[in-house]
Order: sequence, then C-alpha cells, then structure tokens
Amino acid sequence: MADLFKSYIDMKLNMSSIPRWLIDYKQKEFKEFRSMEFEANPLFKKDSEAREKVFLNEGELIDFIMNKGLDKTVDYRFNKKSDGVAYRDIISIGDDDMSRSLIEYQDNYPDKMRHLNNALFTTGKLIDLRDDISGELDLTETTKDKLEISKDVFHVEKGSQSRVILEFTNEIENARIYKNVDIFTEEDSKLTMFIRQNFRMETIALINIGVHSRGDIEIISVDTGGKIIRYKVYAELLSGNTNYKENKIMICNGNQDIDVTDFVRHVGKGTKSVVNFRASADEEAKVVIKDIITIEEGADNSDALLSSNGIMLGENTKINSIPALEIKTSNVKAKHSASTRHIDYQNEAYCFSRGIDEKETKKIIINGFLLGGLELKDEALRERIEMN
Amino acid sequence: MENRIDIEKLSVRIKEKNLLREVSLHVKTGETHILMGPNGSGKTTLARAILGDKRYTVTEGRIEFNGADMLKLKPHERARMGIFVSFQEPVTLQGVNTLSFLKASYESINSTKVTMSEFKNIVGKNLQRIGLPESVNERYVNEGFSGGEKKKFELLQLLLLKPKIAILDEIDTGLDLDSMKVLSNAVNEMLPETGFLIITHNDRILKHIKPTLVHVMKEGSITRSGGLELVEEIEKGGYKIG
Amino acid sequence: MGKLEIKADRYDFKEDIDYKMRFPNGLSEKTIKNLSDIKGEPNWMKEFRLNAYRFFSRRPMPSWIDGLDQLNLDDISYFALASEKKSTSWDEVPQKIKDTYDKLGIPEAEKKALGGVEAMFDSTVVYNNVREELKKEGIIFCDTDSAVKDYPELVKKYFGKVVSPNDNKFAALNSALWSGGSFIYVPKGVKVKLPLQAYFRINAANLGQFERTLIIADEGADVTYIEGCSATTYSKESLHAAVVEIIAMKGAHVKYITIQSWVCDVFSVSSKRAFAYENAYVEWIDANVGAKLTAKYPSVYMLEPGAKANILSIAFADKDQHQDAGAKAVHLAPATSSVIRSKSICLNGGRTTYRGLVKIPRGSRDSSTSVTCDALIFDDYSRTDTYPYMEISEESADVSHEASVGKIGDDQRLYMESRGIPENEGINMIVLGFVGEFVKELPLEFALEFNRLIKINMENAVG
Repeated sequence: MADLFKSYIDMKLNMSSIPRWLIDYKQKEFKEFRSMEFEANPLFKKDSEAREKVFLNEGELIDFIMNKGLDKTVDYRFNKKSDGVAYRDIISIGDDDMSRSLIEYQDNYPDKMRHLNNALFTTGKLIDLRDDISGELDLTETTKDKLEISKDVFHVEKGSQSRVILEFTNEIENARIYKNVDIFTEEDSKLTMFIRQNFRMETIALINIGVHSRGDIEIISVDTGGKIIRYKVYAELLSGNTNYKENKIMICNGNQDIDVTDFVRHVGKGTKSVVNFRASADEEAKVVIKDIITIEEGADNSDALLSSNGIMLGENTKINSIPALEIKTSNVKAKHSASTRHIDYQNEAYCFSRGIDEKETKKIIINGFLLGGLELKDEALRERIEMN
Repeated sequence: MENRIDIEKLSVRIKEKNLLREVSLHVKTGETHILMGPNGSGKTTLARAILGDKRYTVTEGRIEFNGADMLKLKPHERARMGIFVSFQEPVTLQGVNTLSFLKASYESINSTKVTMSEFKNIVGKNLQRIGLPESVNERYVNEGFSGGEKKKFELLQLLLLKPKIAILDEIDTGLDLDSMKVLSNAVNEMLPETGFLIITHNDRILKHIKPTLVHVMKEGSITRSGGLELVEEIEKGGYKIG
Repeated sequence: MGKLEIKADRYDFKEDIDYKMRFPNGLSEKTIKNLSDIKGEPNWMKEFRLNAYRFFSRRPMPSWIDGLDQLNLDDISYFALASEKKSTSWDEVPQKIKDTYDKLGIPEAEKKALGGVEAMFDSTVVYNNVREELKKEGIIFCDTDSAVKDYPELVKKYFGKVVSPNDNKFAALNSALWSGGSFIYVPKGVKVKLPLQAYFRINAANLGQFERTLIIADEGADVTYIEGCSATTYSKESLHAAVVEIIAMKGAHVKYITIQSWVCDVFSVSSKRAFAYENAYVEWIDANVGAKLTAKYPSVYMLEPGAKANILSIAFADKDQHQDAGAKAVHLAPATSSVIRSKSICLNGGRTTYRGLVKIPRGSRDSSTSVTCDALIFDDYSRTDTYPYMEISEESADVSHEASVGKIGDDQRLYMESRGIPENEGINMIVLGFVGEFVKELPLEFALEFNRLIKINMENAVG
C-alpha cells in the first residue's frame, strides 16, 4: 500500500503544471509523513494514537489524488475585500519567489498529518497583509466537497497592523477536512485574528495552525460542530518582547470527539503568552485538552499564563485535560491552572429566584463561563460570537 | 391589593436530616415579620424551602400564595408569581454581566421586553439610591464585590423587581449605617404593596423598621411569636427563651 | 527517649564494602528459589516470588522515564546480606564506616544498627521495650520477613493485593526479591500515639534494596509511619525498588512520611499505593533529595464513599539529578476527595518533573480534587516540567489544578538584604518558606532535621 500511495502522488505531481520547487517540497513532505509515528509526543501517546488513525484512510486519499487533481474543493469568499491585502494561489508561486520560504518553512513541531497535508494539498492561498490595509480581512472558507486538503499561509509584514476574520465551514455532511494554516508575523507587527469554526454534524476535521510570531498576536477562536475534531495550534514566539494572546472557546455536544492540542514555545527573551481555554461539554461529548507551554533556555524574562477550564453539562460527558509546563530557564514566570466543573445548583437557584427560567439560566451561566473575561471591544464581533 | 403567603405546618428534610418541623407562618401585604434565631436553627432552610430549592425535600405541610399551592411550582415560577427570596450568601456568576442579568430577570418577572437603554435608565435611578457606583454595570454578578456590595446588589434587585412578598435572608448583615437607612427606607416605602419576612441575626434593623410580628426559631421550629417585647427578652436571655 | 541530634554533612563515598553474601550478577529462577530458602519462607511466598520473577522477565522497561536507559539490570547484584541484622561485633565493622557515622554524629546505639551489627544493648532494650508496649494494644510492628513467618494469615490476605506483581517491571522485581521493610497492623479503633519509625530510628532493613512494607489499619485505626531518615543514607547498590502497600479500612487514618536523602548515584524507583475504604483518610508525605534518578508516584485509590487522599511531595534536584515524582488519585466512589501538592526545587542543572494523574470516572458523584504544583528553578541549566493528567468523566465532579514556576526574584533578594540578611541566608529562608507546607506535616524532631537537611543541600549547591 505504501508504495502505491507514493507512486500515485509522484505520478500526479509530475503530470501537473505546478512549479518544480513545489513538487520537490511535496515529495519531501510525503517522505516525512511516512517516516513518522502517529503521535510524536510521548506525553500524549497513550491518549492519541488510536484516535488519530481515523484520519488516515489511504484508500480514500488515493482516490482523492487520482480524481480531484488540483481542482478546487474549497470556496474562498472574501466578504470584505480590503486594499492592502494581496492573495495568491500557492500553486501559482514561481520558483524565484521569496514567498517560497513561507511555504517551505519547518518549525519545531513535527506532526504526521501535518506533513501529509503539506504533501497533498490541492487548494491553498498565500495572503500577504501589508501596512496600507484599510479595514479588515474577512474570509470564509467553505468546503464544497467530501474531502478537502488545503494549506493557507498568512503573512503579516513588518510594522503592519492587521485584523483578520476567518471562518471555516462546509456543505456536505460527512466531509473530511484537513487544513494546514500557517501564520507568519514580522517584527513590530500586530495581528488580531478571529477564527470561527462551524462544521456540519458528521464532519471529521483536522486543523493545524502554526503560528510563527515575531510580533504581537491576539487570537480568539470559537469552535462548534463536527463529529471528530482535531485542532492543533503550534505557536512559537521567536522575537523578544512580543505578546501572544489566545482565547479559545469550544462548545461541544452531541457525541462529538474533540481533541485540542496547543503548544506555546517561548524562544525570544521577554515574550509573554496568555492562553485561555474554555470548553462546555454537553450530552455525550468527549473533550481532550492538551497544552504544553515550553520556555526555552535563553527566553529570559518570559511570562506564560495558561488557563484551561471545562464545564460539564451532561451525564455522559468526559473532559480530560493535560496542561503541561516545560521550563528550561530560571528567569521566568510560568503559571497554569485548569479546572473542570459542573454548574453549581446554588448558582442556578439564584437565577431561578429572580424569575429566570431553567433554559435561560443555563444559557446565561454557560455564556458567562465561556465569554466572561473576553474583552471584546467590537460589538459586531461580540454579536457574531454570541450568535450561539 | 392584598397578597399573602401561607406556610402551614411545613416540615423539610435534607438527606436523612430533619431541618424544619411543622413551621407555620403567614405574611400579608403591609406586614413586616422578623425571624430571629441562633445559627443552624433553620432560618435559611425556610427561605430555601419557600424558594423551592430542589435539594430540600418537603415531607409535610403546605405553602400557598393567595390560596394557590406553591409546592408544585418550580423556583422561577414562584419568583414570577411575585415571591422574592434574597440569598444570605449571594453567589458569584462568572462572566455574567450585571446589567444583562438584571435585565433578564426584570423582563421575565414583568413578562415584558425593554431595550437596554431604557433599562439602564431604570437601573441608574436605583443605583444612586442604594449607593452603588455606575461602574457596577460593567462588572460581573457579585464578582469581586465586597460583602456590603453584595447585599446592596440584592437590595437593588428588590427595588427593581417590586415583589409582592419578599423574604430577605440576613440582608442587613454587613451594612453600614447609611446603607441600613437606605434598606429601611426602601422597606417602609414598599410596605403598602409588599409583605416582608426579614430573617436577621441581630436586632439592629429593628431600630429602623417597625415589625408586625417577631418570631423566634429554634432547632427547626418556631418557638415563640410576639411583639417587640420578645426582642427585649432575647437581648436579656439569649435564645434560651422559647 | 532522648532527643537525637544529628549533624549531617554531605560528601562522597568512594570505598567499597565487602558483603558476606552476594549473588552473582544476573537473575534466574534458581536465585529466587535460593533466596526464599535462605530466608526459610513458606511455600506460598516462594511461589509468589517466582510468579513475579516470570512477569519481570517478560516486561519491558518503561520508556517514559528519562534517564532510566542508563540503568543496566544485568549489572546489578541482587541480593546482599550486609543489611542482614545478624552481623558480627562492632570491631568487625570497617573503620571507614565507623568514621562516617562519627562524622554524622550518630549516637552509639544507632551506629551499630546502621553498621549491620546486632543491636547493642541499649537500643535492643529500647527496641524491645517499645515493641512490647505496642503489642499490649494489639499493634503488630516488625520487619516483613518476620511477619511472613509469625503472622502468615494476615500477611497472605493482604500481601501483593494493593500493588500486584504484574503492575510494573519494578514492582515485579521487588515482588521477586524483596527483603526487609516493615509490617504494621493496627487493630480496630486503636490510635498509635507516636510515629512508628520514631521507635527505632535507624532500621538496618532500611538500607535494603527491595524493601517491602505493608501497613494495615483496621477500622477506625490511626497510625503515622516514617520511612528513612534525614541522615544521609549510604548505599552502594545502584538500584532501589521498594514497594509500599497501605490498606486503610473504614474510618482509618494512615499517614506515611518519607524523607529520603541519598548520597550517591542511586536509581530509586518505588511503587507506593494505598487503598482507602469508607471514610478512610490516607496521606503520603514524601520528600526526595538527591539520587541520580528518583521515580515515584504515591497513589491513593479511593474505593468507597467518603474516602480522602492527601499527597504532598517535595523534590530537590541538584547537579546531574532527576527527580521524577508525582501523585496519582483515583476516585472510584462518590463523595471522595483528594488534595495533591507538589513542590520542587532544581538547581545547578538538576531536573524535576511532576507527573500526576487524577481520575474521576463516571459514577463518582460529588467528588472533588485539587492539585497544586509549584516549582522553584534557580538557573538556566536546570529544568522543571509539569505533566498533569486529568481524566474526568463525572459531571458533578469538581476539579481544579494550578501550577506555577518561578525563581527567587531579585525583589525578594533585595528585600532580605535591606533587612540586613546576607544573601545565602535569605535564599535559605525563602526556600524553607517554600517547603514550609511539608515541614508542617512532620513531627517536631523531624521537622528540625529536615530543615537542616535542606539548608545543607542548599549550602552545597549554592556555595
């Protein structure tokens, strides 16, 4: 099977009209994919291995390569076209283009499926955000097909200030979606990003978000929907004195299987990270939240704060959390806290005593739990989030 | 318009423990009842039972509001009927904005809908009266509130929701003199339209509010009921009386 | 009993000790059988050992502990009778050893017990008198070897039931080769007034490689046991794999305190587990200083409603040391609660790792757990990691976890100095404050010694 898979890929690649460098890159990525184990991190091995295999269905993938080729499976809709945003199809990037380095970049987090996505993607955009951007970038990516493998690269140029709204959704019920999203921010830049993920009920999705930051970043993400979701964030804070702020809100119900992994790696001196997870799990949802904050030697004066909180609403829900810290230098402050709770009847009774009915009470308390503390100055954004 | 709540031989237990034994109490519009008693005597349990806290089981007796059986109603339904129960230990609702909360409560009790700006007005008037700053509107329910602020927030709700019968559980604890005056003014002002059951630990409030009846609770039962002279007896002899 | 003053110094041992009996390197069923025969054990224990050995040979080494790959199990001589209580006279104890104990300031009686010599007159008297006192109340306290012979029904009922030989490779090794350790049985409703180890401070059996301790607290019993001592422990053996099993029956309270301070390259891997029944309360208070690699995760399995666990662990890692420690709390019944606190200090390239597991499966209604891990890291060569796992499937559970890592701030140092306290002393105070929670759990004499121990380790480390 292994050889077959590789042969199909090589054949397809050579038949296509994509640039030579991209063919070489994809072949290299496929090799990496083959050589790796499913879960490289021994800490998570026990938890992940069996569950990850659901994503690798070689037959289906071969079928995809043979039949889809390079046709678009994703509809990119730019809701607000802004000046100062330049976007190109990755496939159209020529051999001498400097942007190649962004596509080919390898970070510290080898991941099997991430390599596979890089080898097989058929749709992908490189989006350059420059300083003269007016307004914000509002992009909705709708998967139109049963299988999507895509790679998006966002690049925020030096000194730029950008706002990006990114929404992932799909049309066909039991689709499989594999996305690699890589965000590069240069020095003195500031990026605010809102990622909204709303998949159909039977969808299986694997989203890898690599953040390679030399500037300040703030990400708010809201995830709902899907059946089996793997959401991985690999953030590396490379330059000194930058800030990384991530607020992740997950609303899980039905019989969802949600696995979120978040790595935040402090490399530059004086880097600060604040990561906040909030998940509500209802009905039969199973949620696993893993995060590792690593502070490397040399990242003096760094500060990391991680908070992971879950609220269990149903009898059959399960929340596993593994919040880990790896600290390799002394001149830092790192703190994390995790909690898993249920709704305290006392809190509900308080609302009841003020005439608020059960459904409304639950909504108020859960929204308070999920959204409280999010300083959303933007009313429009807040409404978009509260829509759930 | 007269409203009344009738508690008839109410017995309540939690798990295996009997907390209230055949408690009877009647409160009408225009009346102020004071309930006193040592810690653990069951005062808060009574308040909870009137609210309908599901953790407590009613083993016998009745609670009726204007003749209608309350025991089969859920807590929020009882609140909608016009019964307000303040909490001795008000809870903190993480992330829930005070204004949004008050608005949801107001709309539900009054079966109406208001715009946020209308509501802000309504609240604003009362905030001044109570001595809570405008900034309270930006905060989360009871999060980071001092003891006194929490009680004031309860008082704010009392004024906003204008209940028919109000059961106030130790709302006077932790209030400074000015706030105490605000509380008593509010009670006296609302009295023509409201019936009050004030649960208290000490008699400070009696200097400002004239009670209709004073009750003493001990070990789950009301042992004595009487006028102000009862309070004097307690002051002299402690709760040993009755 | 007088107050025992110990001044401990830390230094390297380079001498060899010739043991009277050593098995050749490597293990086999024959060696196990020999061991059992020498000890004069009943058949059921021999079988127990053999089964454990079979399991041991099949199991692979755990891959998730860093540094364990340096341990070559074939290289180790598995049974040394130097820890045998029946030794010769004091004269035969090597001078170097005697000097060591002199330096440590250990009183006469204990020197001899340490040296493996038959306990001298006074300590024998003390020892026996105390044992007699305990016996009057029905409390059994003896070494495990004797227990197998003297109380077979009791031992057979509980031995290996909490930590089964199949549990992990090192538990299997211990189950096959165990020797020494303590056996304690406290009858219903009996509260043991003083911590048991205090009765004989240095038990030669403590130096054993594969100690096996079994503590059974019957309903309503209360006992505190202290393992190890703050006097630096010498051991030539590079592997120590102990097993401690605790059974706390309804309403019982067991507090197990370990202060282990190794002087040389030791791999210390132990399995410590307790079963807590209805309303029972088990506490593991664990301090580890030194050793090349320590891997221990004291656990409490709360089997019936109302059971409670308190696990407090302190780890101190200096150059070339790795303390991989943690805790495990498994809530198998409703209304159970656990509190886990871990404090670690690493410096000069030392490494501390916290590994914890809290499991609250569905059905363990209204259970709660709180985990706090704090780490103090002194410099950039050292490393501290925290890996907690929380598996929560019960909706009404209340779970909270907090961890923080930091170093002694410049502000703190400055403050100390501005009050006239020199730097080293200031650091000591801060470190002692940091481990203060642990010290509170210790009986007074041990508290003082523990503080001294930390101080000495800090002096050596910080210079």
